[in-house]
Amino acid sequence: MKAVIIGNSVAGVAGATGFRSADADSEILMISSEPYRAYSRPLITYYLAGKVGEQQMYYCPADFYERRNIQTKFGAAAASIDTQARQVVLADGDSVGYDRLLIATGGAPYVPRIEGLDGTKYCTFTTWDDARQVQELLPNVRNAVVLGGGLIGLKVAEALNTLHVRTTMIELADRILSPALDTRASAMIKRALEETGIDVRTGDTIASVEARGTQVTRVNLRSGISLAADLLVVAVGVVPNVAVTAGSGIAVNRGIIIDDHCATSAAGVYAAGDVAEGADMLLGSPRVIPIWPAAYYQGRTAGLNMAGEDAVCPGIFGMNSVEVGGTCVVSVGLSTAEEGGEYEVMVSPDERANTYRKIVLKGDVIAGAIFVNTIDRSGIITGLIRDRVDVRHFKDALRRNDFGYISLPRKLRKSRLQTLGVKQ
Amino acid sequence: MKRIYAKEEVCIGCRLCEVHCIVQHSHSRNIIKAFRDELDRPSPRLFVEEGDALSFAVQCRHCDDAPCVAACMTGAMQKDEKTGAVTHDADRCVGCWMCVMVCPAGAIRRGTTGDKIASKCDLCGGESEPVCVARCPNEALVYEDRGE
Repeated sequence: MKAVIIGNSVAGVAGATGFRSADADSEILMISSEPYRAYSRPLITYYLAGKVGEQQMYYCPADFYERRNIQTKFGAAAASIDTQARQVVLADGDSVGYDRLLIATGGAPYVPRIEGLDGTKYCTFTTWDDARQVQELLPNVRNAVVLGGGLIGLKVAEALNTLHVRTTMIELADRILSPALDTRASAMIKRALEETGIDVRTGDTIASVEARGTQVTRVNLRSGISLAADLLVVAVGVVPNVAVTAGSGIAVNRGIIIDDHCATSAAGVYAAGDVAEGADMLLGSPRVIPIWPAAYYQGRTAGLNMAGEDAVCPGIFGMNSVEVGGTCVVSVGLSTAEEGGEYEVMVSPDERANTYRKIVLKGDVIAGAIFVNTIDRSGIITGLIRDRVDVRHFKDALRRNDFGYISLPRKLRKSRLQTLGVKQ
Repeated sequence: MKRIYAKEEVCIGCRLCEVHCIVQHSHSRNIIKAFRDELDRPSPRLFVEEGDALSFAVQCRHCDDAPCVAACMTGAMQKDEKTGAVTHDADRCVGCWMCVMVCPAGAIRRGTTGDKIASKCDLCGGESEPVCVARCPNEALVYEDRGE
């Protein structure tokens, strides 16, 4: 029995450890287009900012693969899959047979069509090499423009700014982090960024790019504003990296469609992480859930099932935690829902303390939440969402920043604190 | 595995568990020196929730399938397969707060001293009895294996 995993980030690694935990003997081969052992992609902005060094980038210890008897083929891109012959064809022409396959190829940066962009040395920011490339360009950069006000855009802008590069961030939506944050929370993060010296422009985008050869020199925004730019980072979004499935017959929507066992439409083939489209516990319809814990749980589920187990993926929903400009924000679940219809929203803003708390209720359960700066213990709310706990009897206490287990009815408190984390 | 369980019925809210947690993780491990001299003494990794005539300590449950381990993007949070403890590697932590966001017990907090990293119970690094349990004056904390 041979298990092949395409991808060497958290979903692939979780798949490999999941498989090994159930099957100590069968062959595992991990293939990755990148030459490195597993590293943490979210850390590339920390690497750029100089907050972490090379050793800290690695997600797994150096002997991770050897200790688990995992074969590796790094620096080798997978080009296509033949699901009939059960072969993965690599870009260099080699092919690898599999009995079970996990596609964990992650996401690829989306680059919109912008006049003048093609042919210039703009940067995208999803891999370690991207961070290295920006580092190499930095000595000649005085003005940087980051297109995209999502998580990557924010962290890149913050990193460049800490390196004393004059940075402008441009976001198309009316607010930054729009999928995760409501107007108020987003405004707080925007202000925090602006206070560090970053120029944040919302409701705008780049209409055209001017260059001298491959060197970007200026960007012209749709609003008419025009800025000098020695570095342009395009961070508007990431799309599932499904290229390897072309011609394979594997069902793909936005991402590779997976069921609750993380199995794809092809026998013996699984998918996990940013490339996959699976159940969202709160939305009720499948979507790509491009967050670290989703990749971990999907990867592990796939690995276990590849080894013959019958594992159902734990409930997954959107969540994000980020600190920028000294301001922390945690958003969980249906965080941007507004009062009305099936949702009840409770907000506790505190201008003086610069905190914000928002709880979204759907019927008797919590469906979403946002915490700005008052993030400690926010996990209690996440747990109440995940376990679909009926919160009717302590609804009002949820508004408080000091909400804790003391606010729960005694029976529920004792039951949770005794049994949380214990396999029943 | 042995876990720490709090007995709210007998907790007197004295917070000595927090004090001894601080001392145990301080530089000098001496209560007088830790509080008098150490400007960077750590915050307690467990903490007492207190209300009207009710108090109890909350600490990491060292979950069998820890959400913090799943959510940690640096590999700082790990489950020690031998001891069962969920350990946190301060050298790898970057303070992204994913763990704070997912801990259902709310047992992980942002550290308040020095590097911005997460703070949670480490079962006193494998001592036979965590100091909070050993030093509780009213036996409101027990360290036992409930066969789960």
